[in-house]
Amino acid sequence: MAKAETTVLEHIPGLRRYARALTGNTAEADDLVQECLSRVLARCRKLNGGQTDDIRNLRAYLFTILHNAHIDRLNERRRWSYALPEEALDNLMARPAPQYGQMELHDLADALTRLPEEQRQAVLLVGYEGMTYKDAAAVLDVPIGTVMSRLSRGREALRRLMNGAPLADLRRVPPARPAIAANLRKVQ
Amino acid sequence: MGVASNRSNSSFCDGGSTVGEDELQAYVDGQLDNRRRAAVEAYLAAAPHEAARLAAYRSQNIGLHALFDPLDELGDPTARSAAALPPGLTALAHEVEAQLDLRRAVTQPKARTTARRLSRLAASIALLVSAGAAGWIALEQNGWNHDPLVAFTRQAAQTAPASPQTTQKLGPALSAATPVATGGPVAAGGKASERQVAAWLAAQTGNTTASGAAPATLPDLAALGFELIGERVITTAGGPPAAQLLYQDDAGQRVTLTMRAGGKAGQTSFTFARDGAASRFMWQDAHMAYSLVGQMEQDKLLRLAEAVSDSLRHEAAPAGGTVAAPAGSTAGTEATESTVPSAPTESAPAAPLPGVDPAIERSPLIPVPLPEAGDTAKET
Repeated sequence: MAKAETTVLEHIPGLRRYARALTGNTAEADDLVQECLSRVLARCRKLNGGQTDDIRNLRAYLFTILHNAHIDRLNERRRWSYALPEEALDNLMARPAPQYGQMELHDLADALTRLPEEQRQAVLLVGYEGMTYKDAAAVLDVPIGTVMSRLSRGREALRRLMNGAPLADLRRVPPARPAIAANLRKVQ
Repeated sequence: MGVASNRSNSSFCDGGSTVGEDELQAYVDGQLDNRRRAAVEAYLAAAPHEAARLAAYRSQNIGLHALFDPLDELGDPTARSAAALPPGLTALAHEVEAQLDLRRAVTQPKARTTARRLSRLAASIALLVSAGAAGWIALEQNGWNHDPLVAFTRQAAQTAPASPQTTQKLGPALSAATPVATGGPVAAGGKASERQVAAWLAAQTGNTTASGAAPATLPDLAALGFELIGERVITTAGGPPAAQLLYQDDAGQRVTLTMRAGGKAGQTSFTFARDGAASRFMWQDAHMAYSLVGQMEQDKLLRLAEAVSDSLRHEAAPAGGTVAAPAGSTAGTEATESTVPSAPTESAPAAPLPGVDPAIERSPLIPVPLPEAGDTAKET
């Protein structure tokens, strides 16, 4: 019998993975997951006996809390820049990518850093985590149509950036990171 | 609601049917229902630029996994476990779960009744699945028309993470029926049946005319810790027979490989779909179409899929040649927009085969749908 304790645990790897992709930082990601669980715990205790959260989909619920924690952090910071995750760089160098050229993978990572935060979230939730549109809408707290449009724009932006086309509608183009780029090219 | 009904930012006309951008996205994500998938495929067939654009999106998904999937899971498929988590997180997760459990007990007695009912249903499905043909008819009458297998595997996969209230009751019953669940021991694959599937594989070679030979020995996943524990040839309604192989690792985790004759010369697609906890990879080569299903994370299944694909490619290479695949052959696993031919979603039940070890016949091999990139339509 699947004991209850396994249920939340089962989602932890997924939460960590998404948090890593979302923040680009392993330590920050674990911190975020920790905060997410703490928030859930606090809510449970507060709500016990009274009105309860309607948790129909535990995964979406956990991701929602995680996402909210992330947004709160973004708001606290005056300036936020999403950098190429160091883990992604490790992956690039350590992992042979049979279906994906190293250069292409690097371009993808680079393009991802240049997406507006909202589009990046949609792409990661749906494209990386494989979440349904409905769940992603719940996590992001926007209508499904908004998820679709962010997803569509995000993917197209990634595609164009990877093709080397400049994007007129990009809000902010962070400075290139020549050191990393040079590193990667060396590996190849 | 169906994604198909979403209004879209832009739409395109194709011989009377209109395909929207939302549907194209849903096609990429395997969230389009079967009915609309045909319209999208027809549209894409006539619009190569659009097909290329979607292929790029799909390939982004694979790239994201290559980028972000944790490295420590690369070599050791069993490395992913609760023990690998930081202890602080594990303790916290247990605490959260205890609280959630407490609330469930207090506030959701109704859900428990439902869970019991679902549990009974799952148990009866388990019986039906092993019972064979009669089961499929009954299953269809239960309302899972047009592809009980898809519905079933999806059901098994999705109920697990989707609804904690029902999971606990549903879980064990499904484990009995689901080949991908970690379960008890199963009958070991006998040499006789191995020859049978191998013979079937060899026969596919005879059916094909050119460009090499179909594999005659079975994919070996021992390097990844998975051993072949069950196999059989199954019949499909109105289609060629297919073969299924069931692999299991030391931890009891299982994957099912389904192979069907009839590939597409010169074109190989390698696409995936994720249904809750279960991952599915589909691809094809010149001779066959393949589907690999496992209730595990995608990156882990991906390595298995690559191993299967490699193994089959080496097998197909001319005898005496080097085992190493030529550089160009990596194109075989290149992510492409799904070009899988219309697969036998109408797969008929596995008919009992004369001469098959009855123990193997009893083993819970579920015929899984063959490549159908879009068949994960979510009824949301």
